[in-house]
Amino acid sequence: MNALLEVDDLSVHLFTPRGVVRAVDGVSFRLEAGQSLGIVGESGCGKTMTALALMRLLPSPPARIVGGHIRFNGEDIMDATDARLRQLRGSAMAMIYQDPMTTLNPVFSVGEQIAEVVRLHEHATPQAAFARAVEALHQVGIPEPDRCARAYPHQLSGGMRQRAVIAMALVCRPRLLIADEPTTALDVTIQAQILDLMRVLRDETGAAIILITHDLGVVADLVDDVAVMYAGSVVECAPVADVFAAPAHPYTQGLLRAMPSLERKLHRLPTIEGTVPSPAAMPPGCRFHPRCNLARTICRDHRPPLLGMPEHSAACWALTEFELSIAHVTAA
Amino acid sequence: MNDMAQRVVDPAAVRQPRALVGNKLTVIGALLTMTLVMIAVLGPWIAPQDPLDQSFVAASQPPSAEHWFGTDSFGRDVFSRVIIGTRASLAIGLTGPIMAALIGVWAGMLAGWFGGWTDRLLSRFSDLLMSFPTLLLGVMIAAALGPGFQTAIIAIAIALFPRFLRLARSATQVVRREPFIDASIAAGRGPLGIMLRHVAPNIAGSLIVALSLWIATAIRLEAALSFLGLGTQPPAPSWGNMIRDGMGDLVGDPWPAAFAGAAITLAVLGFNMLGDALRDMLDPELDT
Repeated sequence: MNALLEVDDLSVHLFTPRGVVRAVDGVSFRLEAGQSLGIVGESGCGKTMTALALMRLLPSPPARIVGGHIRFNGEDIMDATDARLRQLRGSAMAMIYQDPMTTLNPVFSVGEQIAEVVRLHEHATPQAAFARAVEALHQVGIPEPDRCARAYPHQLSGGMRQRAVIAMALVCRPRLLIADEPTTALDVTIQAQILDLMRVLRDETGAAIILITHDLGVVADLVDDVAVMYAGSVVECAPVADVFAAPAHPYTQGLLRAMPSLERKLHRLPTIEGTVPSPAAMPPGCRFHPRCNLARTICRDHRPPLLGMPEHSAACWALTEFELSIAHVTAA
Repeated sequence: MNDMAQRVVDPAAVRQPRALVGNKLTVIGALLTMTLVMIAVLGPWIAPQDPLDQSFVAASQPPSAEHWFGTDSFGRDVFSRVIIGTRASLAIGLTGPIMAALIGVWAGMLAGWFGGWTDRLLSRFSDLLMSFPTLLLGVMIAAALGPGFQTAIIAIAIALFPRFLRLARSATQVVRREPFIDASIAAGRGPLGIMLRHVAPNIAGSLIVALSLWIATAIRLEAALSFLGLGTQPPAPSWGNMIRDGMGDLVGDPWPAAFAGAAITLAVLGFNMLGDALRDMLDPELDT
């Protein structure tokens, strides 16, 4: 079966007056229809740039896709015309942005905005489109969807707004939903509700989901696979359970150690020493080696490719020796 | 706007309509402009006499029961001329800025949205026009096209359109960065659709304020052009050419010039006050 989305060696550079920044550097992954993938990483590691590139929404200038392929449903996104991209956006692939406070236009009612998306992509009368909007709001669990559809964004709470944004993204039944930190701007109880909702909707609509987050906890119960990004490239890609049970890359291990846990009693959370390298001054070799306690000579000189099984791979030279065996055992 | 205000639950937003009603200046401004529009529309039915009807017997009379505002040197009833003159002044004073806004807002949105060469070309062109004083530019255009009603409208539209271009351009640049614009692109809208559906409504507030303030300017411009003989042509009355006619005998018969001048003052005052009131209500910059 063909994958719904195939990303191959994607590279995005930012052309700034102070030099070229390699925001995304050779990212590859696959996503089957109905599957969900989490892209995890720190701020500035290229997650959002990757997501925007998938829909060809990169702000240009300064960003430009300089290499690689993106195939969506067998169609080459890199060669798609503007008109074709406009057709795809909102209908076949949809995006949920981080901050629901600002992704809705303040001068139109929520229902009008959702209906607008319907009318862009389907032939529908204004009344029919508005009815679809109400239905979509009902689907995302909004009580009294009729009233909500006629409300303006400032009249809704943050959680309600994010539900409305999700309704807008799903109203045309996209095959791929990209959610860029959908819960970051919400408080914790609402976060849980929105994640529950996304899980239910994934099962109901069969949409493939790419979830971008820096929160491993968010990833844990929503996605099938996880891609961990560091400094513009994927350093580990594996089923979600494996990532938690047997992280292969030292960076992933560090991230997991840095998560507070109820079982372990600690006075101080462990951290990963050092900071993310500046994109303008990337270290040679493995980009993680200055912060890695397993770093050896080879790490300084050569960048590791993704190694290991197709279902669990990591970009680390140390992996060849012992981590891989552990990963393999747990995967089996 | 009204429709929206009624559903608003945000207390800060609810305060706005009340502030609008509570402000005396707002009420006066709105009443003045509304009265002027009524006078312009109903002119022929209100005017007690034919504004063109001359009478040498009744020339240059002071105000009386028969001629409320007196008569001019041709014996025409000044009250009727002021009333009918409202039509010319408002027709030109409203149409000119509205045309300027239609062209200027579109050009400004294009410049603000696309930036780059589009922006440079449009902005430099409007800078070129703005380097002339508004009145001088109007006089030049009117002189070039030949005097008349349409000329006055075109001259005012050209003289004012750079103002709208600038305003729409900078407002568009701000709105463009809003995430809901990104969201709309991600939903599959093209640039023109986004400008119409999402940018225009969001910049409408400051544009409406500017429009009412520039209408005041346009009324002055129309009076100035007519005064110079480039606007409304005699014998048709307009406030500007009434002042010019009255200039001939300002000491002996000051009434036509005085009442026409008062009409201009009231109209400009009315639109300015309305503009200020709208600004207090709509302009986000002044929100506390």
